[in-house]
Amino acid sequence: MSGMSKIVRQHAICLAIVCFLIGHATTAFAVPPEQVLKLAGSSLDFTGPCCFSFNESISVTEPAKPVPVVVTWEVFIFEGSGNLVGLMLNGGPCTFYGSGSISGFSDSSPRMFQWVIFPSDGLRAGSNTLTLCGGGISSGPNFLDTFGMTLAARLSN
Amino acid sequence: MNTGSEIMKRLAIRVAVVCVVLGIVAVAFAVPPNEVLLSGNVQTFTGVCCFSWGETVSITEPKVPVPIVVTWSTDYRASANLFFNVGVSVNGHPCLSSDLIAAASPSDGTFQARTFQWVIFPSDGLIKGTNNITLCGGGSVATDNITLAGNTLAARISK
Repeated sequence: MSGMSKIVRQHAICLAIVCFLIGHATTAFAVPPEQVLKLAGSSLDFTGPCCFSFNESISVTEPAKPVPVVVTWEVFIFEGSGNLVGLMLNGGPCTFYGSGSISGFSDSSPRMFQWVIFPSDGLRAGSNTLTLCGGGISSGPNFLDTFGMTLAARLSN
Repeated sequence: MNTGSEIMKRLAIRVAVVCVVLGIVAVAFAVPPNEVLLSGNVQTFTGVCCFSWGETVSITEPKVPVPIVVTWSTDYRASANLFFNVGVSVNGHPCLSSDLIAAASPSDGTFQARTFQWVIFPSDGLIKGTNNITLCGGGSVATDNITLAGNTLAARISK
């Protein structure tokens, strides 16, 4: 009887450890807060020719062997001249990882961009900083007026 | 000694079980690299809907297929008279061209940007194992041109 209860206890401990590890693994896959940025109700205007930092950043933590990152930027644009928007990876040059054009227009509308960054682009193990950047490409005044934006990153594998 | 080796054996089995469970959890959350695609090439497609635009991502479905979410983000210029159809083809099946791109040729030479999201259900032709999702489309009513610049295509399993 004593041997039986010992086995049951051992199995219970083993089961608890497995549950604990699964719980931790699930938490590890949840989106960490530093991977998202939300500026609700904030008006941000960017003025100048491409390319300069917009000073809005998120961070993504890569495993020992870096994997691709998918970044989405959703923004409400009031108006602007022709602009390009991209990302600075770890303070590097402003780079376009996919679509990045905002043509000159005056119709207010929400826009969404999806960018894919591969390890060969310079992702490194540990924390990586992604900063919005861009600027105007017209010969006249260069401006981009926005209202509210979200920037989010998720790890691929 | 015999008891000691028995304990070691049990311990080894438990460690193995934990490793298998952790491995399964990790695989469940993983996204293979071919689920994302970045194309920086400028490419022009001409024709009436629908034909393949040559960009494909793959996604692995479990035993019982579940819906997937596909997102395509692109810079483009289009000389269409009206609209361009755009969609995806699942495993070579006919193009599910459920969205439209309006003609756009900004006079300043810039590109327009658009992002599309499609939800594909098992009834659309998803099968257990590897599934190929290919971008497709064409002019809605006439033979027109669409030029794509930087664009990304990404698929993920819905959870």
